[in-house]
Amino acid sequence: METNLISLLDSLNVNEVDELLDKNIDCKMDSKTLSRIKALTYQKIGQKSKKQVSGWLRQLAAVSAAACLLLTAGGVSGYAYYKAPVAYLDIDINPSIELGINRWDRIVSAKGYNEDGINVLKAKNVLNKKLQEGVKSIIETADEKGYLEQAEGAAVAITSVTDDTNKAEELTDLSKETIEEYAEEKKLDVEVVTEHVTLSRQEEAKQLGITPGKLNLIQKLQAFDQEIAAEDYKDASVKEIMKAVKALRKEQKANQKEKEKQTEEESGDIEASEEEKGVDAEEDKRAEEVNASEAQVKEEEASEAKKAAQQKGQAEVKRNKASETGSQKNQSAAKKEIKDTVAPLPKQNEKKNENAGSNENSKKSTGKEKIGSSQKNKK
Amino acid sequence: MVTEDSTILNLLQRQDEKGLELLMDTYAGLVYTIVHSKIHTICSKEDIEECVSDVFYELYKSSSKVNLQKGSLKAFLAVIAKRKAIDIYRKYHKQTQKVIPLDLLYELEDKGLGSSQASDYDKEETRTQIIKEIKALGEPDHEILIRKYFFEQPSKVISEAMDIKVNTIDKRISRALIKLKKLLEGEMKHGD
Repeated sequence: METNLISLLDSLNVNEVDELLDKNIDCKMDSKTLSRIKALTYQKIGQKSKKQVSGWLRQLAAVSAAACLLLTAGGVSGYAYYKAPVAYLDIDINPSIELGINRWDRIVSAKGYNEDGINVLKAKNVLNKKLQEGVKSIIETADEKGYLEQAEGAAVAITSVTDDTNKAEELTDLSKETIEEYAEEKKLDVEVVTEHVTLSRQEEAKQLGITPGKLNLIQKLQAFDQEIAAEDYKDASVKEIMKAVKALRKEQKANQKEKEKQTEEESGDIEASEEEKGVDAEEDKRAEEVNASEAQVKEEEASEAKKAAQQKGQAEVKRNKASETGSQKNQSAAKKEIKDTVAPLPKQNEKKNENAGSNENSKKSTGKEKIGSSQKNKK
Repeated sequence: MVTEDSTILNLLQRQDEKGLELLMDTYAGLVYTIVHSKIHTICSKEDIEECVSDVFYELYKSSSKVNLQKGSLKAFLAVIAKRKAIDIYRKYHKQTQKVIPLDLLYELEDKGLGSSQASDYDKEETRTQIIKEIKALGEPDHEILIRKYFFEQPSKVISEAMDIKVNTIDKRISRALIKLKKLLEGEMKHGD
């Protein structure tokens, strides 16, 4: 009877089922099963849509997509590799320009550090050119704009900024040759100065808004006169800075010579005064020979005066020597320092020895510990 | 329910996957219960899940033919689920004999999904009558009977779902069957 009822209900049509089930009957099922069923159903829908695209077309799409991906990935990384500068080359005339050079000596970046530099770069594109071509084009533009035609001749500072010294020499030599060739051709009076600085200097220069090459020149200036600020020479041309350097160098040399002369003269005076005083004393002696006792006394006085004069002269010499060039002073200071450092050296050695000893001890102890621990491990 | 059905159907007819998602969220329990009851003795869990997904896929495919005035989505799904499950059951047992009347199957194949016309008018009469009788039982017997003989749930499952003791369910079923007996006996005679 029951099976009959079931079969009867199985045969209900849509209308009848709708009537029978008008009341909502709750049929629970677990969410995992539901999600599995959903996945299966979506798969069936997906299969249907996939079937619509023919097989070879799908394969072609997949292959071309893979090829595209490879090409773009390769292209992007290759371009980044090409674009990465391994060194920088600064050209300072007064236009200050910094060129980024990649591993194939191609210019991959160009930056003007001042208005003149920006103008020069604007005139001609140097990007992706070979270094020599780029430098030539820059020097040409600079010449056209009149930066090289100065009454006393122009100066160009070429500074390579890299940690690779071989690369640095290669870059500066190439650039120097190019510029000198150009100058010869055009019969220009151009002095080329090459320098090399490390990459760490670049940050320092960037903060001042100048090229590391120019900073290097200004620091040369500062070596002569510490009161010179980098800011003052920021906008000066290389020629001006070099002129200032030369002037200061001459001045220093002149100062040194003068001081040397002064010291010579002063030492000459001392000798002269000593002689005079000696003569005076002898005359005194002769004049007062009669009075022996008095003469003796006077002789003693004279010798005392002589000694005093000698001491005076020596003191003066010392003072002069003391007031001589700072370098000499520094030398003496350095000597002192050397003396100071020499003295405690044996102590340091001792300390080193001690340290070594203690190290050995510690090694031994650690060895023992290791042995101990290994023994423990064995246990 | 009708408004919800219409929105789901709209989405389905536009081939929107959201419609399928909503449909499954709402009726997966019903379809699963029907399929599970019919074939769980002969099929694995995976087969049951496969069959349930087939039911939803079929409605998704033929959503353009579905007319909500002829029946709710629930009814359509229930009918498809029954038919699919019975199909599997019959294939399994390789019964050549037609034990279960499957007029619905031919109906769907001949006239498309949702036709309510039945070939056997006598049986249609009996069916309408039995539905009336079941509905006349009142609550909770009405639900218990549907669960027991339409969803073919065991008494234990019904007791859990309705929070009624298994004993009470069995008693209520036997009492309800006595009420339906006359009708069913007549059906049996008619069938023989």
